[in-house]
Amino acid sequence: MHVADTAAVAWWVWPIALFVVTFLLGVVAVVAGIGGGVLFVPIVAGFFPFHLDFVRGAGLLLALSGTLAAGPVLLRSGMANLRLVMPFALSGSIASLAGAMVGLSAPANLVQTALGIVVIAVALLIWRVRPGRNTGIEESDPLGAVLRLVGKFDDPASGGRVDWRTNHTRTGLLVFAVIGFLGGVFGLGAGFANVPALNLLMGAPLKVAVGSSGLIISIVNSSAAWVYLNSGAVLPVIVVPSILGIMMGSRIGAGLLRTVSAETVRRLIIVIMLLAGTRALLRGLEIWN
Amino acid sequence: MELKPDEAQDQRVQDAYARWLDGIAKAGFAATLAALLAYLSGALPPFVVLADLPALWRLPVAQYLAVTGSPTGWAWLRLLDKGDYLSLLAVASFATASLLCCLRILPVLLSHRDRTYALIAAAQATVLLLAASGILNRYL
Repeated sequence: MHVADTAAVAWWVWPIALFVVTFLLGVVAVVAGIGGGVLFVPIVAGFFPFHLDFVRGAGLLLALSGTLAAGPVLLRSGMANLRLVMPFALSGSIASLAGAMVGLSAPANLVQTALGIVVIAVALLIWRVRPGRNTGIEESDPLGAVLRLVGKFDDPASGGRVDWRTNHTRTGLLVFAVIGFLGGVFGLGAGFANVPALNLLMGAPLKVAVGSSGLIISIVNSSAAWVYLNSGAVLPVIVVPSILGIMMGSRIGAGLLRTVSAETVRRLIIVIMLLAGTRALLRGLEIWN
Repeated sequence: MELKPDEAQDQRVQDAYARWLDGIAKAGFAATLAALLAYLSGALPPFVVLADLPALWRLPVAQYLAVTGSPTGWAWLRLLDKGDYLSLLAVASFATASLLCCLRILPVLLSHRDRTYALIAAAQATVLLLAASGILNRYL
């Protein structure tokens, strides 16, 4: 359907369609181990009639609200570590603020084209990069030592206590600033990038990286979300069904974790992202509106 | 698991953050659901008529605001008797959670004499307050 024709469709069709799509995104995102926030913007911007400004505002709030529910459990269990979260969330949220302002100031076609390129790059990143389980850092770098980026948690899977520490703190701060900026510009949740940064670059154990990444998203996206809220770029009729859909889908997805092949779903997500990224690219270049 | 003094202090900070995050998230989700029902059922009339939305939500935000006369910044707080803006308030509570949690752990960090992280928490709260204030939106 051409976008111009969508105004003829009854208004209530779209919130219901959003709920269904975000429910499915919630299911596959959990099974594949990535946040739903990175899927929402390219898919909804590509295949729904909403302007990209409103989709990005919704994407930021969707990603952050999804992490709020899990945050307390992750903090209490030690899977999310506040010492690890806070310096990188600060770096990311300052950059995210700048990204949101750039994103709202730039022409929509330019943002849409860049979104297409970023989403295709993210799909390739998910395809190529596989986080490691055991990192075994034995010595912190000087800044990591000052920030005391060390911790421990009880791992039921290994049946023991895992002591960990990180390094490459300065590079990590820079990487999180870049991730935050992109998140602000495009309204993306950045679990796809946070986890490899914490795990592969800095050496945090995978479980701590996943848990801490969620909390980082909740802080980083908050600063950009306020820029969109204050600009009037958040429409409840788009945001609320999406939040409810992805939350319910995530619950179902968590239940399916043991029965569905994560690798199959991961491949499916890569294909979806390549399609959505190509669609955003073509729409931005005004080849396929 | 027995904790060293530093670890016990870290755990207290994590617990304080987790408690507030939990409370705000639960209240936010309940409020969002209630506000959505009031909005979509018509119990609270919307500021922008629902049937008009398909012609409006494909416009860039500046054009949408001009056509609908919708407010920016915090001016929407005067419209909480409208279903769409009551829903916006509920959704905005999610964006407030991190700010409140950072403010909550600040005195705990100071009581532990953890000046580095108290500074980081204060800086984070300042960034979030700056974002929420809408001051930066004047430069858009």
